Amino acid sequence: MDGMAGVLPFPVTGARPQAKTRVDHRNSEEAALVRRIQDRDELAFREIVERYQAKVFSIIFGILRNHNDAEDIAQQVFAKIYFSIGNFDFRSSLLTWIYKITVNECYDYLRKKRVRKLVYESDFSEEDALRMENSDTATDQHAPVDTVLAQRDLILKLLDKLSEEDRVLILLKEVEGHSVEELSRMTRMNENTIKVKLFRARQKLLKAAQRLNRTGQPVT
Amino acid sequence: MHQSVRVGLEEYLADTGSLSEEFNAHLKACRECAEELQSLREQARLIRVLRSSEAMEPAPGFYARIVERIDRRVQPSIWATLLDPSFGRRIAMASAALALAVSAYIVSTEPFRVTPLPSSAIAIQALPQQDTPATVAQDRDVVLASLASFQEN
Repeated sequence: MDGMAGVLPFPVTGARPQAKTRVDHRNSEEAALVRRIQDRDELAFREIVERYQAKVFSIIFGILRNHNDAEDIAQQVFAKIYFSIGNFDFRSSLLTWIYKITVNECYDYLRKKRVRKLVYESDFSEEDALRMENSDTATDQHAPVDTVLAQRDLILKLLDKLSEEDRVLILLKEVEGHSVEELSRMTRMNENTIKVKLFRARQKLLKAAQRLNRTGQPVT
Repeated sequence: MHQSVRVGLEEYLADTGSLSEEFNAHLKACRECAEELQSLREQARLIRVLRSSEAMEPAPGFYARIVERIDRRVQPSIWATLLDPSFGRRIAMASAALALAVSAYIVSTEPFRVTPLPSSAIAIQALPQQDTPATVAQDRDVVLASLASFQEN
């Protein structure tokens, strides 16, 4: 995660000392585990998998709602952790790092799926495509709409407009329910920086949603 | 959005109930901020749709499948070996050495042929001799003599 560069601070309010929230991720029990994996200790890697597998699965399922692909993506996440743990620099907590990898894998999956869908649709003739489009419209007008599904698609599209870091911050805050103070500890950024980043990300999401409403077309 | 509201935004969205009086007073007075806060609250609610409703555990053997996947990536394929830069360099060096050896062999076993210069004495001898008027007349006489002797017979 990036530092505080280029971020306008909020005025500091309250008497909560900022230094209190700083956590050194290098000296935790988790850090010792990471160092063991960096030294190619397979037992330590197994421990990480067992400790975080349920969390990884629930993140993937929350985003994709797809049991079939969750296992494949989770395997990919842990393989990535295994190969990139050497680059883990203890600037954030291990959970934040794993969370980021998992969310990125989900977005990679969604992008690939979108491309596959486009390739599939391009195989149809113009006439077929028109017929399908018309039948889709007819169905949409009469069938009951799955609101939750539509909302999830919309928010995933909007979140795709954010940077990786902002997306993870917003998800950790809203989906995982972490407080600003907890986020500060997890990311080693001060609380004001977290607040500024969250505010900007929220504004960006609002603007993307407004553009979507105005044009009726997906935001690009 | 005004600064006083911006400062308390996260507390407001988290419903912690620890909002300052200044925040509440501003919200009552500023319609623009109130509307924006409403949109942001709706947005936060929308993001929470991504919360996983059920606890998930992988199927048994999950760790073994991860190890298998890692092993597949660690064992290089034949294409990976061929595309490996150091292996490619070795192949290129071996090809160059082979090409050099083959050309040296061809050059050493090629029969030595000298094409004479057109002006040399050998070249003149090798050229087809052109018929001179004298030889043509001699030939004609021989033919006529043969014909005459044939008629006499």
